[in-house]
Amino acid sequence: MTLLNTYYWHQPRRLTCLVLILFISACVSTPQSPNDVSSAEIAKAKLIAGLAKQAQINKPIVPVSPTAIEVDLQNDAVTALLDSAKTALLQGDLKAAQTILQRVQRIAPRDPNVYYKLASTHLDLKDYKLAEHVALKGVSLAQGQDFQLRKLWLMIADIRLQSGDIIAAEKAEHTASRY
Amino acid sequence: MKYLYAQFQSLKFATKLFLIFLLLLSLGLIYTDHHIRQQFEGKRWAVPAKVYARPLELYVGSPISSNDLKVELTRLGYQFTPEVVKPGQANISKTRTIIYTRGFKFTDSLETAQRLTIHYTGTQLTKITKGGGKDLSLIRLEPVLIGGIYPLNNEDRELIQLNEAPEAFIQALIAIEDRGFYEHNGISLRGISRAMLANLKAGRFIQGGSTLTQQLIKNFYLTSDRTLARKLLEIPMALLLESHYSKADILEAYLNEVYLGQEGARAIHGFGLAAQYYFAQPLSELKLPHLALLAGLVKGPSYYDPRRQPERAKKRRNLVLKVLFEQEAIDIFQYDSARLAPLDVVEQTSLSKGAYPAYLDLVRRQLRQDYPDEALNSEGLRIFTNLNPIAQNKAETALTKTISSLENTHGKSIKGLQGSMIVTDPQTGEVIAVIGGRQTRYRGFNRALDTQRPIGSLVKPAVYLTAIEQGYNLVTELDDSPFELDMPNGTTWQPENFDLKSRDYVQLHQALAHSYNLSTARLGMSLGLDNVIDTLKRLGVERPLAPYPSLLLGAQGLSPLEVARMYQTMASNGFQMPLRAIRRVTDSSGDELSRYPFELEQTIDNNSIHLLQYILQETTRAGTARSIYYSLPEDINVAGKTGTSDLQRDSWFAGFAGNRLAVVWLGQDNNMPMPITGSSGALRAWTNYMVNETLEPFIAATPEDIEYLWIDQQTGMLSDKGCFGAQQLPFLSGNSPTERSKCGIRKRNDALPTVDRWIERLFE
Repeated sequence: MTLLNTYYWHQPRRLTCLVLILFISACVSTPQSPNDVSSAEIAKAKLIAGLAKQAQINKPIVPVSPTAIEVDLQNDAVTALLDSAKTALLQGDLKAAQTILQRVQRIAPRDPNVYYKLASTHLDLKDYKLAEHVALKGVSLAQGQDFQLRKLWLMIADIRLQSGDIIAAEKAEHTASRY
Repeated sequence: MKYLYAQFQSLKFATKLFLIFLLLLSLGLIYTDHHIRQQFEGKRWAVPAKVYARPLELYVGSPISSNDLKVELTRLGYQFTPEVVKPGQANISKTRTIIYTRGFKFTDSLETAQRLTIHYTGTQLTKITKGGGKDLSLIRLEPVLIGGIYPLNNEDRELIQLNEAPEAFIQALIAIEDRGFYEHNGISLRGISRAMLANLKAGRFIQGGSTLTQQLIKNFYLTSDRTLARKLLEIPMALLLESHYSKADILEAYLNEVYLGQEGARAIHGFGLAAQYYFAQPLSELKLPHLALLAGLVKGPSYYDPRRQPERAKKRRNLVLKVLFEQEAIDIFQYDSARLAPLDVVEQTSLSKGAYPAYLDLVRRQLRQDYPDEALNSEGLRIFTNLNPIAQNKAETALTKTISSLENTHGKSIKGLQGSMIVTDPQTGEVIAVIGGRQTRYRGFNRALDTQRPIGSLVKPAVYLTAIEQGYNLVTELDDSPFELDMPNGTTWQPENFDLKSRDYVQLHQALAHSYNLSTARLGMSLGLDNVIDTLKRLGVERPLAPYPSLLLGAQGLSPLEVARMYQTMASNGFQMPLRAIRRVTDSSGDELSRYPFELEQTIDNNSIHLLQYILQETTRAGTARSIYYSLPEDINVAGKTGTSDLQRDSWFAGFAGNRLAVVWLGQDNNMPMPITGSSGALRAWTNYMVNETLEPFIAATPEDIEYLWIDQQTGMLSDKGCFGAQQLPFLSGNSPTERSKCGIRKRNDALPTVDRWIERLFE
């Protein structure tokens, strides 16, 4: 009633609308049921149904991706392979490490950590351009994961520094500092 | 005296002649000996390169069903048995599979043969346990051998060592071909006498008395002509070979040399390959009746061909078994059981070799950039590819069924409809399936690589991406009214929308999702053709593109492979990457020669690609490809674009989920118009494929500079979630609409209660 007093009573157009809809609701013939419901209840139910329908209409057409994409870090296969890659790296066998990391990539292609490690092998091989782009791919997947983003941008800074591009390295370091 | 002198002279002459003959004979023998040793000790055979599919990785959480596993194991020639007791056997049920793997030496590690139990629910693997019950996190099955690259003589063989041949097989071979093998010195006088007698009785040549050594000499050094000269040469050569090499060396060479069958132009040599060719299993895994059949085939692979002459082959096999029994090499129970066993020869069509001609074609092309033909067809290289036989199988089924269904619906108008398909991993750029035509086993024209057909609206994302990069947002209004353009050659270009209607203005995202031609053409012209071409290049199109306005609506011809590369860049967040069919190449002993690693380059920035990805998702949710969700579950997010060329000569669809990207082309080789569009043709094949794949949803990571806002669909103004007709759209921060719709303003001011808004909209 308060709503009516506040908004509808002083605005004839809205009041007409409300009356009209209530009138239409009242005119609708409903099947008799053992517990006959009142017209007001029907109108209320219709309003709720209408609202529900509207809510459905406004569901995003395209589901929006979550703010942070979680990566299954508990995958034992990934952990085991990352350990093998680490061993290969410690032995200085960068090619073997890359082969193993590409196996990890096939299992967990959205894990930014995989791209971080892959980028580091390319950096060790002094393939700066590829190292940077692999790290950037990691960045593109690390949405909402500040720790990963910081790590990746610091790596990009390192890559740029080693390749002699000091200004770009500083920019990357600045980006890293945001996380 | 004179007579004696003459006699002496004659004798002297004869002696000289004899000495000369002896000298020549010695020289001949020395030469032959050198020749025998040189060839026997050098590279004996031109061994074709072997091409393998990707090894199946099994780990907890891996997407695989019992059906998928069965396809893989069938391709690997596993035997499905109630008891799994030796390598190459498996037992499959709906919830678990027991496998005894064969093991394989990969370049990075050795997978040993082991008995495993694999548990899964639906389409996901839940547990792997080893024989004793120990849990494993990851295993790799051996890769499926999918083909070879053959030398000019088309000889194919798989080299084996003597110790890989079962004892029973050696016994059977020697029993039927040369029972005195371990006693003679290369020739068997007893064998020759027996053959001569048989030939005299028959009055013609019916039997040979050749030993295994002589047969090896004939096949390895001489021709197969049945001439006296060859026979005479064969004997000393056999003696020389035996004098230099052990029986084991000779037998091993024989096992690899002997001719055992023909598949078209491809000649099957050696028992290693014959075991695969006839039984799809390694020789070491074959049972007694199989081994007896192979031993029996030596006498006449065509005459006793078990596929074409099964009765004859069975008689021959049983003869071998009988000889073995008579020699007490097998007992009565083994004999009875083996002679009653079926031939068990696999259907030729079920063999993996030759099963993927279009994929092998791609592999050959990529290899030839790095290897000469001779290295490929003679060095026994091992080529490990990215082919996924399970995905290939599903893609083939989807494409062929869709084509048949379309032909049933549309009748004669599309008789002879052709199609091709490429499937890749959108994250890694690995090509996992290629189909070159509706006859998927046919080695002819490869439409996936060699057709260059107008791509229609598949080009449009490049136009809209250019616009986004130039500062357009998703609700920028585009003019969709008709126009004409006078061309330099005097003609007039007059594009039309597919529905022949025009709209005054459409928002940018709607124009692409609904594939409007007029607004796209106008937009492209205002952006500049060179800029659109530059975008196409950054998306991965390498061929030169002419700056004609019709380019904007896809008049440019591309192959499905080129389209796949273009869409790969869109799927992988703007990173362009080469599409790779090959992982690595090793020599015959497994040492790595070259690798084709993951490479990429970011050519489109994160923000722009995200906005484009949104519209491609809208296309599948509410645009021209919305029929996808009649079949795919709502939670599997996919993105893509339909394409139809002028007069509906080509039907295209390119799209991707999280773990699969597929491009489908349908059309006729004679380039005739068809009654199908991208939506009603290629999209159906694409959906039929994706429905049967274990899909992961496409997740478009939202870059930090992107914000999602509720927009009024009608006006493109800011709105609110609760407002009628509001749609959530992404915008680059600072480039979003600033004006608010009425509903949006009220919501913002919290001025009206929900009920009121609803009532008002009802009557507005």
